[in-house]
Parts: sequence; structure tokens; C-alpha cells
Amino acid sequence: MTRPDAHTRYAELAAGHALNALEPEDEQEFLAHLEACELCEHDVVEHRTALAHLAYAPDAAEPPAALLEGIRAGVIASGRPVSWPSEPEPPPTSLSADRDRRADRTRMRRAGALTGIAAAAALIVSLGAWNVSLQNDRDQQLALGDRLSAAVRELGRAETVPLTGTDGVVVAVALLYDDEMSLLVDGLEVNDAGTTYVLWGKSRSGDIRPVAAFDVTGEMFDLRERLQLADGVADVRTLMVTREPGRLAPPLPTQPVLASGTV
Amino acid sequence: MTLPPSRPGAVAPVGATAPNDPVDGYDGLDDRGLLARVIEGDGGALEALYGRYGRACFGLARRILADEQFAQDVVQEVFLTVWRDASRFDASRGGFSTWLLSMTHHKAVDAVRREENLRKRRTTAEALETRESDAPLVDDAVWSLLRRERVREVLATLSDPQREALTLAYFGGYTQREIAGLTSTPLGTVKTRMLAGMRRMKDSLDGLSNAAEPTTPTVPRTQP
Repeated sequence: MTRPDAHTRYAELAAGHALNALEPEDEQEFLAHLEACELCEHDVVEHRTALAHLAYAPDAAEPPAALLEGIRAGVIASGRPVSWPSEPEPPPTSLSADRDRRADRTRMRRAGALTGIAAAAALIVSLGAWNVSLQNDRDQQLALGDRLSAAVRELGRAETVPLTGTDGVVVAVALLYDDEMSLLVDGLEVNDAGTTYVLWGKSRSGDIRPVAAFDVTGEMFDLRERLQLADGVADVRTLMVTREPGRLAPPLPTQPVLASGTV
Repeated sequence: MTLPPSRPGAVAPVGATAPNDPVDGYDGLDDRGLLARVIEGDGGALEALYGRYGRACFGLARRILADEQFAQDVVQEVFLTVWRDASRFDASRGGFSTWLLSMTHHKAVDAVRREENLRKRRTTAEALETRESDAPLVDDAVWSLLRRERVREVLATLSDPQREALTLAYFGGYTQREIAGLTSTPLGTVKTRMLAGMRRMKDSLDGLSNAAEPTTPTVPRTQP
């Protein structure tokens, strides 16, 4: 331990260190000193404890729901085995849910790096909270919550394929199982009765076949559960979405690809 | 097709047990107990810790960064660090909340220094004033309100130069040398003021618990 009468300089550095306010050279010097100085270690602990109180001085603000959703998505994406007491519940709804959702999209645009399971998880949990908050009917809320929870749980054993629009934004996520698929859609326009969205699968050999036709019924996500993959697309390598005229999927795409992703 | 699981809080069928449902809940667990569960991979325990401290972490990061989105990013990273490296917590170096808030401060300061345009040059007087924000203010628990008032009272007992040095460092993310420049004060004087202010604050706050106020758990539990 350093003698107290020679310690004033380090005592000052300890305060600066706790405040993260040291210059790099001072920080380096202090850290080297800290390894061997119990007095400074004690000082730093006391300073940090006092500063933890100071953290409460600003006015309290409710964190956006997207924050907890992001943490959940990060936990799921971390790859660490995780258990939940029950499936994650959508965070409390708030009047700012719509703004949060827009912020989520902005975040996803900005991040850009969210891929695979992380993107799917982030999309699912964020959309889950948003939709539940907007639904008025309690039964619908419960059903939607159940379906989202099921999807979140199944992420762990599904291969996830984000489908990205031409502007680089993820508009849907496919969850692939052995011979089934679920599809989460968000960001596609509502289609009218004269058109239908078609999900296409392109095989390694280049064959393209329709996997499923679906409608987007409102400005909310759609979860299409357990679509049976058509014969011939078991070795699908690319998924694509088009919006086709009529109510049935044509044999081949006739319209521009709106979104795509690689398995 | 698999039947969807029950929604949390829904009445489970007799005899049904949700996978990984803990035998007991989180209410009775202190921070270390929750952290032990996080180490075991209990995501609910992490959410319980978020329920206790997420608001404080977010408030701190938001104050330092003056940006909601960056504050979210910082707090998310903090809790994911807890998730990944909970065993890094060393109880001999202070309580969990101290560790958590210290980490939040560190990451927020790093961020504000990286994003220089975020840094709002604030005067001491502004540092603790209510800023306009998009984030909705919350109705505080009485306990939380009292703590905030107590901390502000303690800050008010510091001399103006001490308070200025502390708030510019803690909420502004400025280094000692930057504070010296901002306040036209010799660097040595800034260091001395900072230490004196810290000591005075520590003496005044002694006895005030750092534990979180009781909160409603964020994760409802299924009734056994």
C-alpha cells in the first residue's frame, strides 16, 4: 500500500477515474497503480457508490418499449441457452408505441447488420409489442400474443431468412423448419382484392415455384404459420416475394421482386 | 401443428407446467440472487434486473448523450453485457447497481466522446435542469422521488466550483483537462475540486441505500 502522505495525487486520480474523466495517460498510470493499492481500490469503490446515487438525479423517464425488446432480441441472438419463466411478454403498451415502432424501423435501417436470427427476433418482438398495443379486442390480443410467443420460441430451432426489400429494409422473415415454413411480414403494402402476394422459392438448379400466396390485410404484421413447402422446393436457396394480379399464384412470377433473401 | 403455448399470466391447465418455469419467482430475490440466475441462463432474471434498474440506466445515458436512440443503444449493450458476462461482477467492489450504473456511465461517456456532435455543451446550471425530451416522464414512486430530491440537495451543498466540476464530468462526459479549459481553471485545481466534491457527496449520501425501489416485476409469472 502506498503511504498516505504520498497519496494525494492518486486520491485525485481515483476520483477522476471513477468519473471516467481522466486523460488517457493519467488513466493508464492510475490503473497501474491501482493494481497494488488497496487504499485506492477502496476509494474507487466509495466514489462509484456515491456516483451511483448521482445517476438518479435526472428526471426519470420511461424507457421506450423498444429498449426491452432489443435486449430480448439480443439475448435470443446471443446463442447462449436461455430459459424463461414463461415466454417473454410484450412490454407494457404506451401511447408512444407507434413512435417506438417507427424508431424500430429506423434502428433496423441504421443497424443494417442485423441478420438471421437477430433480425427475426428483433422483428418479432418489436412487432409483437406494437400490434398487441393497437388491437382492441382482448381475444385477438391473446391470440396474437400466443402466436408471437410461439414464433419466438421456435426461433431457436428454425432457420431464419430475412427478406429484404429493394431499399435494404427487412420486410419479412421466413422461419424454415424441415418441410414447413412460417412467414412474418411487415413493411409490405396492403394488397387489394384483385392482387395477392406470392412467396417464391428458387432451388439450387434455378427452378422457381410458388411456395405460398398470402394477403397483407392491414398495416400490421402477418404471421403465416407452418406453410407446407411445395414439392420441388425442398432445396430452396432463395426466397422471393412478388405481388401478382388475381387471387391465385401463377406458375412463375410475372411482377417485379419486392423482397428476397438467401437461405 | 404444435398448439401455441399459454400466454404469460393466463390460467394454465391443471397439471400443466411451462418448460423452465422457475419454482419460485423473482420478488424475493436480491440483485445477487437474480445475477446468479442470469449466470444460469435465466432470461427472466435479466428482465427482473432491467425492471429494477433499466429506468435509472436509461435516464443516465439519456442525460449524458442527449439522444434517445443512442441512450437506448448504450443501455441495451449494458444489459447484454450483464447477460454475457454476469460473472464479471465482483461483489467486493461494490453493489450490483453500482457496477451496472458505472458501466452505463462508462459506455455512455465513450459514446458521447465518439460522437462529438452529440455532445451538448452545457453549463453547470443546465446540467441538472429538466430538459425537453420526447421520452414520457413517468410518475415516480415516492421512494424514487425522495432519493432524487436527496441527491439534488446534496449536490446543492457543494460549492459551485465543486458542483460544476462533478456535473461537467459526470453528466457532460468531459475529462478533467477539458473541464479546466471550459472553466478557465488550472488542471490541478479541477482535480482538487473533483476529489473534494466526491468526498463531500460521499459523506452526505452515506446511509442512502443504492438498492432499487420495489418495482412491479416486468415478467409476469405463470401461477404454479
